[in-house]
Amino acid sequence: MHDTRPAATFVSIGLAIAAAILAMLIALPLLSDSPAQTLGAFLMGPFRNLFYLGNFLNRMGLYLIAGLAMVIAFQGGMFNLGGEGQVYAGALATTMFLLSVPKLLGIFGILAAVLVAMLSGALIAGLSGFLKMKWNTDELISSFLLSSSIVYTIDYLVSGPLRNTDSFLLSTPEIAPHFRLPQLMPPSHLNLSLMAGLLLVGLTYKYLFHTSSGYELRMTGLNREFARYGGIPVRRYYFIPMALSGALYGLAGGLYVLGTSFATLQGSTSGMGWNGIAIALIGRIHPVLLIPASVIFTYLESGGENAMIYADFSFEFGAILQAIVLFLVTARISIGRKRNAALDS
Amino acid sequence: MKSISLVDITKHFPENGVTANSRVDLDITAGEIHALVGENGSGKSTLMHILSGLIRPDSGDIYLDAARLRINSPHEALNHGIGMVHQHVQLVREFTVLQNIILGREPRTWWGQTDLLSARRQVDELMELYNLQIDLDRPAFELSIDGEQKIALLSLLYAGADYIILDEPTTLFEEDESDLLHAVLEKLRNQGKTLVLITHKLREALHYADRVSVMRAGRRVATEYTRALDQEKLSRLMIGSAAGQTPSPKHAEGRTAPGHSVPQPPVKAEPVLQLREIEFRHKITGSALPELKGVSFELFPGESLAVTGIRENGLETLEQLLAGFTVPSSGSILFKNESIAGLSIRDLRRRQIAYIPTERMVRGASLDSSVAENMILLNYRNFHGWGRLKQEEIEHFTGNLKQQFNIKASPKDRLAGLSGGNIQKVIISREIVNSPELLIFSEPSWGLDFAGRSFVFQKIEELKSRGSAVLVITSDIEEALECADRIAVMYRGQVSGIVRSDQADKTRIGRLMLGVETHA
Repeated sequence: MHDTRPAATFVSIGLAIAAAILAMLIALPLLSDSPAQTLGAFLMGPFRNLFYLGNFLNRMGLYLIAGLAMVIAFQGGMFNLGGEGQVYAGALATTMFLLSVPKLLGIFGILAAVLVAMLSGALIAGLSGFLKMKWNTDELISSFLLSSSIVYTIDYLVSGPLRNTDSFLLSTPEIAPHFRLPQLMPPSHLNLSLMAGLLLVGLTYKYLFHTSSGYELRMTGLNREFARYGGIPVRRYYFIPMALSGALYGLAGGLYVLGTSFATLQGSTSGMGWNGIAIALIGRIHPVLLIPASVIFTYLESGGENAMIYADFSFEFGAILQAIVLFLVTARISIGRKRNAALDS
Repeated sequence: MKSISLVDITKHFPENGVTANSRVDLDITAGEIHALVGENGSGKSTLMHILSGLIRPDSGDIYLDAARLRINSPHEALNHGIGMVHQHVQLVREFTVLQNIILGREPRTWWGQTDLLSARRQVDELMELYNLQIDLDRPAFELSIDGEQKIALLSLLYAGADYIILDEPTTLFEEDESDLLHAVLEKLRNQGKTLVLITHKLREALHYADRVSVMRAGRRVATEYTRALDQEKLSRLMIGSAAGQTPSPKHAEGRTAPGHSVPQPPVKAEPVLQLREIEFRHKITGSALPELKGVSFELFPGESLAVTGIRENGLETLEQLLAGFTVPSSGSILFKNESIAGLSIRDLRRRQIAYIPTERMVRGASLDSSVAENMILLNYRNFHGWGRLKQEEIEHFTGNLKQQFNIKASPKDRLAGLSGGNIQKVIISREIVNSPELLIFSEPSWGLDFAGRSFVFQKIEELKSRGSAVLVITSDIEEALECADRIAVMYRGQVSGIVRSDQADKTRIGRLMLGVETHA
């Protein structure tokens, strides 16, 4: 799935978006009483003011990390369907860790919390990888089931034993201000986690394409038989991509707490796991292409939300638009693959 | 019957910058057998993929007599009566042979159920008519390549194809059945079918076809009646220069001075590889591979041994065992006096055992990866420091291989975009560049034209002269005679004889293969 011609990819993604916008232009007059206003609200969404722009960029940064989690899993030939639970667990682990350590730790507390977040995600996803390695359990099923039960468990914890009873929200207490990431564009939520996302794009790219472990991981993902034949320890690569994927998902949850929510709210990270899959597919499973992919995805999402607030745009219509883009982009991937398969014969 | 004309066909693959067909015209006269020959990568397959609807040309037209055809898919091609039997046939593995043959064109009873009885009757008639016998009730996954091609051919006949393209059809039948192929082709022609044979075997083209068209570097360079041709003339057309005479190293010397060019296994040397009483029993292993019953042989440094036999007699099993993909039920495999049965593939690779598998495109190569990524499979650990792969060293290494083996591609290209011959070179170069102590080479000239063949044989000779031992596993007698010092023949899971290739001839080995004779 690794495409060596990014230019062609940009064109195909561009076409998919153009098609989605066209679909919107056709459907809007039918669904909205004031199509022009709705369209304006949709397209201008993130650029209405700095507050919206900041939130847009912040969300994009977190989505970037979730997308990277799926890129690593997909590149290794594994399907991590448990992102929802791993993000949520990363968030809760970070919160609880920082609530229990002394404030004096400062920056070291933040760094340790980041590790805790990654470790919690890695443990959960890694378990699915381990089960696959040991008993050939389908990682798609096991990661999904595990994640679902974790989501309910954390929902319970946040609304019960760990709840901050002083708050009206279903939320844990907030972490100390010493442990919060610096805000870059107040009053928006934009913070250092965007930089972390961009940095991780570079690191993931380096890992996948310029290290021997990344080479082993990709060869195993592309053709397990070939990798085994070449002496690559393929069984290990049931575990490694899952653990790395979980670590990144957990990190996304942790950074969300550190920079945006400062506490674990019930359902606050919901959607990040699924969106990671969508973004990785739009970005053609390539770390660098994730940047435009996350921009597009976040733009559609926040545009839809904005149009819901400022015009008569329904939530469902926003979801349909996202689905159209996703559908067109992934269709192009599979058509491309089919054509290549025909050429091989 | 009408004739087919391909007019001004051009096809460029932007993926790798190759122009596979450049303004090609080709006439296929009704009722003829037309051979299409050319080296690997000359564009013959692409041209026929275009005719059969698998690939769309950039420009050019296809006519059936005066009518211009619109062919956008294999299905549309078949509606015009044009079909192709590919070298590698896609089947529904779980279906029976019969279900595969009628796939997509199942006859229905009046209440809409598949009418297997009438289908069977029709297919039976076809098998009778064309002398193509196959067990209709076997599940498809049990078949070997020749069976798969029979299915594809029957399926086309069942669909009523009148123009049939056969891609490398000698694999349709096993070695001793090539007369059968002749008979089938004649029958097809007598029934009014028009046939195109894609082949790189000149003898085959001259033997079977009425006319031969030669492709070279994407162009059609000649079309001649076979009666006006001989092998030398044809090979000159194919290669485009006097290079047509390239002799394979063995034929040049081995035959004129028997025993001279064949190095004696050094008497004092320790064997590199020793098989002792290898058994592979279904009861114990639960495997579907053919059984082995007490196989023993030795291989010395600087020597090449070919293991040959008809399919299903144990060659496949031997390959899987030696490559570490399965283990014997008893007996020992010694590599330099150390038992290696049961070692992981990784450990075998660490001991400098190279292996070129029969399944080149699945096991031997990662088609979706780049040429460079395929080349460094055995060496990438040499290029890292602190886990980082050193790009400059990789570029240097892959550049070297490309030059040394004359591979026509950039290391950054996707492997799937290369021609078959170049893909093979990538695989072979990777396996032998480290001068392995032992090379297990299965079906060395599989899918190669004769320039590629002599290239491969030359590489085997080079390896031997550097002291490597080469174990060739092949179902092709001639290949065994050409590239090996000794030949071990397998029959029903046993070695029916080991002979020196300078003292053997094809008949003798054929008799050993068929179990008519056993070696004293």
